[in-house]
Amino acid sequence: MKKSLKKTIPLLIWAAALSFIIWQCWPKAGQGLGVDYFKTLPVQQSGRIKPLDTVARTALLSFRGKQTLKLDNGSTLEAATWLLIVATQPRLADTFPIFRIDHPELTSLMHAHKGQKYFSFNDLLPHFEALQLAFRGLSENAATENAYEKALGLLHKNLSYYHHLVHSFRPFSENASDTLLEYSAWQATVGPGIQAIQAQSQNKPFDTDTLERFMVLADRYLELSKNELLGLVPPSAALPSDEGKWANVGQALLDTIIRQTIDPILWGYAELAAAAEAKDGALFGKALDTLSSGLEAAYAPWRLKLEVLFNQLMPFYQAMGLYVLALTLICLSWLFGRSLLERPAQGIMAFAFIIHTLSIITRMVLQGRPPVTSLYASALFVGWAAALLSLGIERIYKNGLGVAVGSIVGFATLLIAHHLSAGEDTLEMVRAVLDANFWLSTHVVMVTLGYSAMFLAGALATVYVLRRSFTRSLDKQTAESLTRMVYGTLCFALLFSFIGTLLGGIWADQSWGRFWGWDPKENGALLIVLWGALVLHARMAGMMAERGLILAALFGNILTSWSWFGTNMLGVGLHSYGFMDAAFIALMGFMLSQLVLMALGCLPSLRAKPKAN
Amino acid sequence: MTLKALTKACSSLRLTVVLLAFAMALVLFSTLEQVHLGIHEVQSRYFAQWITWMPLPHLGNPDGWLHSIKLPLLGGYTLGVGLLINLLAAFPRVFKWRLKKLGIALIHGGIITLIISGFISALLQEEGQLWIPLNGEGHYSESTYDNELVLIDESAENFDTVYALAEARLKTGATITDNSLPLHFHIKAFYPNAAIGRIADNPDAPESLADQGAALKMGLTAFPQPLTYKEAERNAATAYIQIMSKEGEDLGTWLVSNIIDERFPRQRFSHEGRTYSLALRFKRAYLPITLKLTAFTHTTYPGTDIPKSFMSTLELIEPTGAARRVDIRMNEPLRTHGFTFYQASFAPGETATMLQVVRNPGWIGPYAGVGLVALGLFIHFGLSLGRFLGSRK
Repeated sequence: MKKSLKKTIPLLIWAAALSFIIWQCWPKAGQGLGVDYFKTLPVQQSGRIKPLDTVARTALLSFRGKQTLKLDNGSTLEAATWLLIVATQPRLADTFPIFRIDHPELTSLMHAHKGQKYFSFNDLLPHFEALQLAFRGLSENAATENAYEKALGLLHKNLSYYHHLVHSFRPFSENASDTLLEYSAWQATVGPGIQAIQAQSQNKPFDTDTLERFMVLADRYLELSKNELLGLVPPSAALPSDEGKWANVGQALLDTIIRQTIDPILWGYAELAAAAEAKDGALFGKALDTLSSGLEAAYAPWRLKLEVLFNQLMPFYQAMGLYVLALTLICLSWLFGRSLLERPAQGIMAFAFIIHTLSIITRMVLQGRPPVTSLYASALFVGWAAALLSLGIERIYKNGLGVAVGSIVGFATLLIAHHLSAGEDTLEMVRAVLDANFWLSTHVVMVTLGYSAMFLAGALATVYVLRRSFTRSLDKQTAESLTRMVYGTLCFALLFSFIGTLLGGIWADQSWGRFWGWDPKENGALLIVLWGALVLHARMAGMMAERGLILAALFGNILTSWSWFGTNMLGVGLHSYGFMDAAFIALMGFMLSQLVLMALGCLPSLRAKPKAN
Repeated sequence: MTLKALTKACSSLRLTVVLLAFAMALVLFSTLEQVHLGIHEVQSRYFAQWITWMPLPHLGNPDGWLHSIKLPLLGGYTLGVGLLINLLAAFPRVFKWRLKKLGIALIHGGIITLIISGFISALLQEEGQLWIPLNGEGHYSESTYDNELVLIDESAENFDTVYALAEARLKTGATITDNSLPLHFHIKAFYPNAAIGRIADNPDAPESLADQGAALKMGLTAFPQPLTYKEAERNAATAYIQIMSKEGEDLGTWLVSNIIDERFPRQRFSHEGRTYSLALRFKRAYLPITLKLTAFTHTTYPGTDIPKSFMSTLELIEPTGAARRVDIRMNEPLRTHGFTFYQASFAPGETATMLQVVRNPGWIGPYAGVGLVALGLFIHFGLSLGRFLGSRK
């Protein structure tokens, strides 16, 4: 009986974990007609070519904090389905509750009934006058905003983004069939219009009506082209763009003056909308075919499909779930016997790590850049490296501690990354100074590895303190092996931070002309290096024994969080509300928790000392 | 105390730990001070010092009581020298030339190199900005912080003779007489930062002390201002300078300021048949070469304002007259004649480029230090890890 249990339980755990992942990845919302094709169509936004799926997801994240849309009738729409409706039936899309508004002052401005959190464009429409007035009062300075102004600013941003999304696909007309008529009319006007202009400039007779119609339309399209609409039409041989800029609908219509005909991609989107409006499946399919074959040449479809798959699988969320599972299993194994649960916990941890690794590689492939390009990416990488190091520790000590600390840091950093992404496209472009450069890339990777090791040492120290204070499980042998792990990890942290900081110096010398500039971020990294060096020397001088080292690792957590996030907060208003925002409070909370742990570590154990065995 | 005991004290690990702890305090507190003082001021107040009084963090209110409490800390100089002595004293005692200790010896040798090159940079490094308009030329860089008072003798046909006085000598009430100067100066007033405005527009305007030059002609006066430490602002050093002949005859008082720059006509006067002009300007460093901007390219990612690259295309004219084309890009500076030119900024509309000009004779030092440290770290940690893994088996 017992033997069979030993075999079945791990199998059951794996089966549960895998079915959870599959259930998570399975597309939930009903797929509309041709959404699968639609979402892989490429557009250019913020300088990056991305599938419409990404546009849809980031927009919904920004609007309502979720990647799916729940309708009032209880059904759920996938982001891409929603965007397809925005593109083809905007009047229908206007009725969807996509804007989440939480601030009570703002909801009362809308005369919302109590508890209403989600608003449609049509819900907001009657209050536009009041909103406009409120928007006008917004200050330019983000640092001095209070919570209400922040919420108002976000709503303003979201409303104009929504407006831009709607007009990215159709210039002015109310109905899609009218858009087709407008395009045809414009195409027919272009030739005679140009002739009229030429005639006018040569003082020859010309048709005033034609000229006027041409000028009115061209003016409207020019205005339209200046908006931040999605780039729909890639540069072509006939109309090259030196910066690789894709034309938005306004620009593409202006380009008709040179091309003489409306671009087929533009026709495609207009026909798609007309087919959706007329509920004509065959026509819809045909329009999608035109679009995808027209755009295939402009951008590698495999990249788009990979990104759509990446979006759909949400691998970082899956890894997060698995880290939590591994942590739970290892804690249970300590309570109920290691023989049963330790192996599956190790396995799940390794599985999470593999998903984490593949996801980072996919990001690198999609971006074509080294792993750490932003604060968001650094959080992913810190977690990844910590998981790798802790798997190394687990391999050496085989006592579950590696799994515990690795899964804690892995989960925590992925959670941080999730909050850092905050509705933005996480594969954004990088500024010129931060562009691919050997020294910079190696520098950030090394420094982030240093953060990982520092946090890992801190997590090990946390396990030490908690077990010592609240359980009797910390016998002499475990305490010693934990201390050895902390010491070894701290050495790694010093190694990576030191090399990383020095590489940063070389990069700074290459791009700014000074090896060291005492900039807050540099100072933060230096603090970690100095702390590592101090701990090593204090230990050698006999000033720091077992518990001293544990406390030092906890203090290292404080320094590392300061260096990673605190230094970034200095620039934006130390003397403002901005300083009191959520990230700052989270950072202070973390630092405080570490101080509490340090205090616990100084106190005698709350449980009687176990006998040394 | 015997020499032996002294060496032992100097080389002790406890001293290392204490110095590192002080270094951490200095770095952390001065980072917080940077928020309202800026990097440059923090460097001169806290790092380029032997002992420094460090205020507690101000938590957003520099005028609060917390910020008025100051702690004595070791300044950057003491820490640098202290660590250097500590390292050098420990070197012969601790570091034997065995493979096991080789890594450690290399790391500490590298750190010694880094500290020394830090001192060299602090003492010898000169930095300035060089603005070149499109199709224009540049042959000197300007400091962003230091000023100089210049008297330019323009009498000769082909060249000017420039007499320059450093800002440090411009003290209100000071009289500067020097045999090598053709004229004598009396500093009636010196303001490290001031605004210049028209007396007519400001009923409460302070009285102008000038009786010559632009101030008199345009009815200008100086409004003393507190020093600014903001990254984007410069201090407008301003002074009323009285010029006297060597015999003590008063030739008049001029208002000079670094904001009355090349955009304005020079403030000229004549004395004994020679023509002079007077100016207070950002300190100049003349370059051995001339750079001419032939093109500036600035690209952004399509459809955004996110910069993708900056590049200045220049013609470099050597002292010999030989000319060649050079490109300076972000992250790709030009190193020549002991100067390094970095792409730093540009004027809107791409009409001018700004190069950061750095002269640091010790620039190679950090590279050597980094090389030694990196080598040492890999040897040491490689050996330790190998030993550790070996012992597990």
